[in-house]
This record gives sequence, C-alpha cells and structure tokens, in this order.
Amino acid sequence: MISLLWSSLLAFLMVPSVRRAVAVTVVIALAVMVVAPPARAQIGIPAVIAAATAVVKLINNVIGGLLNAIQGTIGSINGVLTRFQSLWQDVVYPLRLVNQARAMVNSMIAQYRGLLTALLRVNVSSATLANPAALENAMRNRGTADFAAVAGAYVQTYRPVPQPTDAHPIERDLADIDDAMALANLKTVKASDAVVDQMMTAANVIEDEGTRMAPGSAAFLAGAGMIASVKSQAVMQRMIAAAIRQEAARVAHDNTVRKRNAMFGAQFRTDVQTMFKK
Amino acid sequence: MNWLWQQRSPVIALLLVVVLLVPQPARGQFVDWAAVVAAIEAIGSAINNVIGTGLRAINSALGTANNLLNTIHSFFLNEVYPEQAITRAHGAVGVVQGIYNTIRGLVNLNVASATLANPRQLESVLLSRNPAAIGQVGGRFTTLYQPVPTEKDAPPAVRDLIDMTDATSQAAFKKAIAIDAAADQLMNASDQLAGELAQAAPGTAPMIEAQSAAMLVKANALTQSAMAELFRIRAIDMANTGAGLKFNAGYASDTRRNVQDMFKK
Repeated sequence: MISLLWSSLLAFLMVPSVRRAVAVTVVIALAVMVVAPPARAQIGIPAVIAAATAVVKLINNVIGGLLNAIQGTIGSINGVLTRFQSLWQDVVYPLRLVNQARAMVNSMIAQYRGLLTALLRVNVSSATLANPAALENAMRNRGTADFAAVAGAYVQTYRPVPQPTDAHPIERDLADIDDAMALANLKTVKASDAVVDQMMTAANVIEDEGTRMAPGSAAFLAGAGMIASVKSQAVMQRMIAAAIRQEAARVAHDNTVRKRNAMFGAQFRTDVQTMFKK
Repeated sequence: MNWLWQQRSPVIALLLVVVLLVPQPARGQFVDWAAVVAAIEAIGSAINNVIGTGLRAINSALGTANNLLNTIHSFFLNEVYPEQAITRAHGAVGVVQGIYNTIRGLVNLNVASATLANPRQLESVLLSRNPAAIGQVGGRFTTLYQPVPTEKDAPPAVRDLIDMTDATSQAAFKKAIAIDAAADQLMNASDQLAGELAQAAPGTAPMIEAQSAAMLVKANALTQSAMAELFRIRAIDMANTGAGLKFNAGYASDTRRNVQDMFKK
C-alpha cells in the first residue's frame, strides 16, 4: 500500500508542470531563507554604562549625602535627648536629692511633731478657787460642745447682770454687752483651739504623705498646704474680728461712762437748781 | 505555472535582485558584557555601601534615640510622676478637705451670749457676718451705748472725745462684720481650691497651687487690714487715756484759778 502511494507520488512529481511548480517553490523558499530578517534596533551599551554610572553617582552624592545628613541630625537629636535625660535625672530630679527630701520630711516629723504638739498642749491653768478653776477649765479644754458650761462658769465667776431693781438700765445693758463680748470671745477662742487641732491634723496628713511623695505629687501637697494656709488666715481673721469687737465694746463702754458722767452732771445741775428753787 | 516556467529567467533574475537588495542579516555586534556587569555591580555596591550603611547607621541612631526616650519615659513614669504617689496625694487632699469641712463647722459655731434686749439686738448684727447689715450698727449702738451728750451737758472737748470714740467703736464693729464676711469668702475660695486640687493632674496641680498662693496673699492682706483696725481702736483708746490727763490738768487749772478768784473776792 505504501509502495503504491510512493510510486503514485513519484509519478505525480514527474509530471512536467508539477516539476516546474516545485522548482519555483524551492527557488522562492531559498530566496526567503537567504534574505535576512530586518535587523532589530539594538540599545547602545555605552549609554547603559553611562546611565549606570550616573545612578552610582546619584547614590554616592545625593542619597549618600542625604543619609549622612539624616544621620547627623539624628545624632544631634540623640545628643539633645542625652542632655535632656541628664538634665532631668542629674539636675532637676536627681534621685539622691529626691530621697534626701523624703528623708528630711521624716527627720522633721521626728524632730518637731511631738514637740510642737506638746507645746500646744502645755497646761497653763493657774486658777486656785473653785469658780475660776471651773471657768478656766471650760475655756481651755479645746472643746466646742460645752459653750453652755463656759457661760455658766463665767456667770459663777463674774456674777450675773444686776437685777433691774439694783442697777440703771444703761448699766445693766453695759454689763450685759460686756459679758456678751467676753463670753463670745471665750467661745471663739475655744473654737479656734479646736481649729488649731484640726489644722495640725491636716498638716500631719500632708507631712505623712510627704514622706512618700514623688516630685510630681509634691505639687498636690504644696497646694493642700497653701489652701490650709488660706483657711488658717480666714480663721485668724475671725479671731481678729472678735478681738476688734471686744476692743470696740471696751472703748464704747468707757465712752458710755463719760456720757453717764455728763448725764450725772446734768442731773446734778438740775437737782441743785430744783433744790434752790424750793 | 506554465507562464512561470516560461518566464523563469526573469523570475530568477528578479529573485536575485531582491536577495541582493534585501538588507543582510545584522551581524552580531560586539557587546562588552563585562562592563555592563561591572556597572550593575557598581550600582549594587553603591546601594550596599552607601544606602545600606547609611540606613544601618540611621537605624542604630534611631535605636539609641528610642532607648533614650524609653529611659526618660520610664524615669518620669516611675520616679517623677509615679501613679501610686499621685493617687495617694489625691487621697491626702481628700482627707485634708474633710478636715476643712470640720473647720468650717467650728468657725461658724454660734457664740452669741447677750441676754438683755438692747445688747442682743446689737450682738445679733455684730455676729451676723452680713455686710448688708452694717447699716443697722449705728442705731443699735446708740441705743445701747447712748448718744453723744448735748452741748449743755458736756464741754466741747469732752463731746469731741466721746464722738470720736463712738465713731471708732462703731467703725470697728462694722469692720468686724466685713472681716467675718471676708473670712467666709476665703473659706469658700479655699473649699473651691481644695475641690479643684482633688481632681487635678500632676501638671495642673501647680496651677491650683499658684491660685492658692494668690488667695493666700489676699488673705494676708485682709488679715493686715483687720490688724490695722485693731491698732486704730487701740490708738484711740490710748488717745482717750492721754485726753483724760489733759482734761484733769485743765480741771486743776480751772480749780486753782477759781480758788484764787474766790480769795480775791
């Protein structure tokens, strides 16, 4: 079968027209094969090398320069941070001095707290008789719940305001306001003593916290102390106001005595005139 | 095909011409691959040596900066502003605030003690801590301490002394009311400051402290003003003592003259 096909193909190729066609095809094929394909445009290698050199130069000069500058800046920042750290740790908040400050608070507590408390509570009572001793005790006991006892002991010691039958109304008023001013001040002083105790307690609270304070928490304690001082000044003003009232009442009392003398003088003049008329 | 065969000579000639005219295949040009590789290696080397080294140095420097910042942060967190100490300080402020409330109660205790009508009326105004009541002092004072004697009842010098003394006493009473009211205001201000301090941050606590210092300066000024009033009334008291001596000298002089006149007659 194959040989039959081969022989048929040969017979066909031997046909003159077929042979010519095959020859022309072969010539064309040869021509096409011989003809070179269009030369492709090729990149210039020197240009590539020049570009690469330019990139290297860019890296060395520009990027390298920038990196050096950045490194220098970060170095400066580190220098500043180091100095900053040193400033805070060695100059502003040196741990040694922070601990020393806390130790100082402890030392001051040990040195002064007990002593000042004892000095505040020194017993100065000196009365010898029963009524004065009772008054003295009531006015110095630093309590504020026994104002009535103070008033009672005061009246026992200084006697009550005279009865209307025993004194002129003006004298009774004077005696009563004098007593009132004195008593009010004795009560105010008792309240003040109690306030002093409270202030000392507040100071102790602040001081106790001072033994454990940090530089950042000290401002709270300083603020609390400052506010306590404002409070203390307010109490001091109350005391001075009471002293002013007492002084004013005393001066007014003396003045009323002068007025009474004038009244007596006028009355005496009137009486003498009346007597001579009779 | 037959035509093509017949024209084979011209066709072949044409093909030859075409073959000659078509550009010859480009011959392989000379490529200096070593230079190209060297250039690329130079780039790589530059990247490694310049950029790489620079970035490594930057990274190291940033690491140092980071360590420094961490150290500073830790120092502030643990030594300067430890949260525990701040919480405790807030607590201490709260405790002190409680003590202030007790103090407020103590200073406002009622100390009124007068028993008779006139003294009670004056005392109620004097202890009112109300500046609006200052206007009532004059009338109640005069009711209790009596008016200045009339011209026929006392010589001018005595009337002057009495009037001046009354004026100073009244002024002192009025000032005492104003001082009490100022003390109330200072109490309010210090309560306000304490409340603010109890919720302050470590950074704002010195601001509260500064305001407290300002209030303290004001408080000191008010205390001075109160002390001045006390000195004034003591000065008038001293002046009255001196005036007593002067009046006595005057009376003695009058008596001597009268006696002389009497013997002349």
